[in-house]
Amino acid sequence: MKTIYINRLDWVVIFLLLFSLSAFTQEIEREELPLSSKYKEPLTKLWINSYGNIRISKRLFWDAQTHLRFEETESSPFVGQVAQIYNRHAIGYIHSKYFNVSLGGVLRLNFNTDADEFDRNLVPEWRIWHQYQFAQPLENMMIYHRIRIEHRWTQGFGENSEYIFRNRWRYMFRMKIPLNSHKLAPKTLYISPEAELIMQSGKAVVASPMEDLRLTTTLGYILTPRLTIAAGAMYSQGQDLANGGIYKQSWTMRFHVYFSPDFRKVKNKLPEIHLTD
Amino acid sequence: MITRFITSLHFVAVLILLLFSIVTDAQTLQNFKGPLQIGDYKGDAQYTYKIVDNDTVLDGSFVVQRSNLQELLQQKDYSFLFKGAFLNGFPNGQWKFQFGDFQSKSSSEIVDYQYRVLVSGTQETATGTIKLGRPDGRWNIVVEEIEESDIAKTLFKSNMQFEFGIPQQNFNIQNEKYTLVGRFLRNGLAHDEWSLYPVNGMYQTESWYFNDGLLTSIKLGKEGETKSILVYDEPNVKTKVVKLDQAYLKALGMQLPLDEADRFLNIGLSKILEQNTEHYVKIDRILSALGNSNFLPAFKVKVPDFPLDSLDNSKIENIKSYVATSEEISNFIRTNSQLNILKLSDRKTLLQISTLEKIAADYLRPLQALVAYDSLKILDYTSRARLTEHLFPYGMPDTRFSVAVEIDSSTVHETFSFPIGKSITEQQNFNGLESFANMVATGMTEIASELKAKLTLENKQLELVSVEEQIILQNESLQAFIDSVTRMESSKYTKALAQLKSFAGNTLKDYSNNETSSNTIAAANSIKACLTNINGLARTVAEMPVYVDTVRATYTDRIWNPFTATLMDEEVKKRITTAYDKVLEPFFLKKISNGLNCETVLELNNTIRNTYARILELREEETNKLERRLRREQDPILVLRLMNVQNTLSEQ
Repeated sequence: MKTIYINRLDWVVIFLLLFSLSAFTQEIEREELPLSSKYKEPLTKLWINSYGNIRISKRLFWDAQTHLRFEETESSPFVGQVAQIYNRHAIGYIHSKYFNVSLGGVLRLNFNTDADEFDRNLVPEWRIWHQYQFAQPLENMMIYHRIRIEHRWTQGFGENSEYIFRNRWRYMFRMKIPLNSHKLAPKTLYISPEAELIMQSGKAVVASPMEDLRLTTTLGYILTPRLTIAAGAMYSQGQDLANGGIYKQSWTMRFHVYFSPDFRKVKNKLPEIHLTD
Repeated sequence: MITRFITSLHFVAVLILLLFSIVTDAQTLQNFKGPLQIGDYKGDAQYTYKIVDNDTVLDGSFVVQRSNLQELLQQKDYSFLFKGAFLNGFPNGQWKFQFGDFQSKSSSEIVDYQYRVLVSGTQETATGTIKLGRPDGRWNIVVEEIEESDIAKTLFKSNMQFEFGIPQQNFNIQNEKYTLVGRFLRNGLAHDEWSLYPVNGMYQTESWYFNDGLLTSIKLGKEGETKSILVYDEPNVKTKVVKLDQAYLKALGMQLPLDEADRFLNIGLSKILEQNTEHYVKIDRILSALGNSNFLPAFKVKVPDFPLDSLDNSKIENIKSYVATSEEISNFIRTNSQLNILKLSDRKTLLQISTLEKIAADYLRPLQALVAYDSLKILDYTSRARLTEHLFPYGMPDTRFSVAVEIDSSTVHETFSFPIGKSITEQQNFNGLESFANMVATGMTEIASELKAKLTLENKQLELVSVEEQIILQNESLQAFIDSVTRMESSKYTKALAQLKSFAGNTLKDYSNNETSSNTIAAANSIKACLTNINGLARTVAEMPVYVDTVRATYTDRIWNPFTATLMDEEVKKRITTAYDKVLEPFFLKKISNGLNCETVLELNNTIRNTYARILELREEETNKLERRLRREQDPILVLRLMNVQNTLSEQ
């Protein structure tokens, strides 16, 4: 009997496998690899991100994220201009307080930040994504492991540019360490170091599987259990899609608002808040 | 022809006789053998009887007896034997009654093939003839003391001659001390000299002289000295025949001074007569239980006849009611423990009780005797003058007298006068006795009502003392409680408690300053209530920190934060908790600090408790509207109203 049941974790593995199969055929680029890796000058960026986590029912929530991303340009250094408006949505399932999964879509609007080009100014990018997030307490801090898999369709700014399909494999390790309290509670300042490796695959990906490595440290403040703000700095580097020998770099200022409203009636909320706790 | 007629007549007669015998056959005697209980006597009976109209009628021989060897050997046994005969339900014929009360030494000997057990005890035997339920002929009653199965001593012996229940001729009765010899006329009236001889010289001789049933004098003699008492010696007096019974003996007492009568009646002749009667009563009870009997011997005597008219009877009724009233008072005084304690400390009470005791002894006692005579229906046996002389041998007591009591080893005298003393007459009739009884009852009632008033006052004082004790207890409890909790962390509560403590102190001080006020008990009770309420409020204040914690805990949810994946405390409905923390609780504490008074303590306590309960209720209720209204409300009274708290506190 026991073997017939496939537990939830097994489903996750099956899900992962299915999506990885779709990443087979690759388009070959003609760029020649340099003899040694070349690092571009780092760009500066500014991200203003909002993360919404709206409780729908006992176990489901609506993950709603809107990011505004700026990128430096020649005319406006440092903050630069809007590069992307990023809408990420998903329906999440709370398995337990230490594990949840999400599945949804992303619509990212990419703005052309190259003033010299006469191509299109705005192109959409589509993604399907799913995510598996684990949390574990360690003394007074929390450790998170996030596996996020994205299936993205992108196109260049050029007219009649074709969509290319790629898969992204993301793993993020993050900690939240309370600074002024023995635990993560309202009115707590915490520091959150994180490292995320984003790998990619697809026809277009020949020699640059490592799309991005992001190293971030954020300082956050929990205002209430439903509202947290954070700010941090991120360094990232990754291979250029066209040439695996060339590495892009960037420094990003990040500002985050986390909110998690629960509009359910009190009487519906009460017995279910603690989940399996 | 004639012979034929005679034979036919003969035939008819035989026929009738035969039929008759068949009818009488239905009344054939039947035998009974088995257990029988007669009053307290339970034994084995054997008798014959017949059934008449469905009733068992004893007829023929009768015997019932009991003796139990086993019980005798173990401890002791009572035995009896009633043996005789009945005729149509009447005891008739030779009878024997035997009552034994024996113990054994549990040793036996064999004589002539029989086991013999020696017994000791008493045996009473009565033998004689009964004619249709009445003693007839000679009756002997003997009570003997048995020792080791031998007669050791004769305790009592009575020998009387009867004719169908009426005693005749000479009789003699003998007990351990005396022998009584006397005689009756043929009609049963006592006659001539009845003499009582002592068995030894220690006791006095006593002779009653009857003249055709009327006792004229009694002569008492001891060691050569004689004393004569004239009894019914009034000449030319109408007489009537009565039984020589207990009532007659009591009536004899009326011819003597009251205090001598009892002494005289409890010894000698009357005593031995009474003893004799008891034996006859004992037999009569047994016989009456079995059938028709009138075994009590009709000793007859004559007494003077002074009939009571209706006026006398109504006076006697009045006297009885006065005596009842007086006796009630006398009993109350005798049995009231509070008065008996009070008299130890209060001299006035002691004097009053002593007065009542004296009235009861000297004034009430003769009247009680009068009432007793009336119940025996012997008041008409004597003249009113004799009666008065008997009751008051030294004349009617004075309407005023003095009592002497000893207080702190010095004697105090007090004179008491009966309130209606002047109207008392020396009339030697029931009229005079009635006014005397009325005087006694009125006098006793007067003193008793003073004592009762004192008791009421005393009770009130006792009540006050008890209430004040409770006040002190309440205050001590309050002080102790406050002292025990003043180590509370928050000074605002400590301050309120200190305030309560000083308020209680001031309240008590005010009370003790006004203690002379007329309505002290009411005041004491209200102070007691006030202190009880302060106690209650103090306990509430001591709980207020707990209230705050409980409210906080009640209005806190543990919720799951999706961004930290941890559970966090979320305060909900903050406007309600804030209203409690920032508006209501400070208001309550302020109320305690300023403007606390006895009237509002209870209300305030109730409001605080109601508020707390209501706040806890609101957690589960739909409160959006309330929370909106609470947003900027700072007026505690309005807040209480919005929250629907039962509140009687005025807006101040």
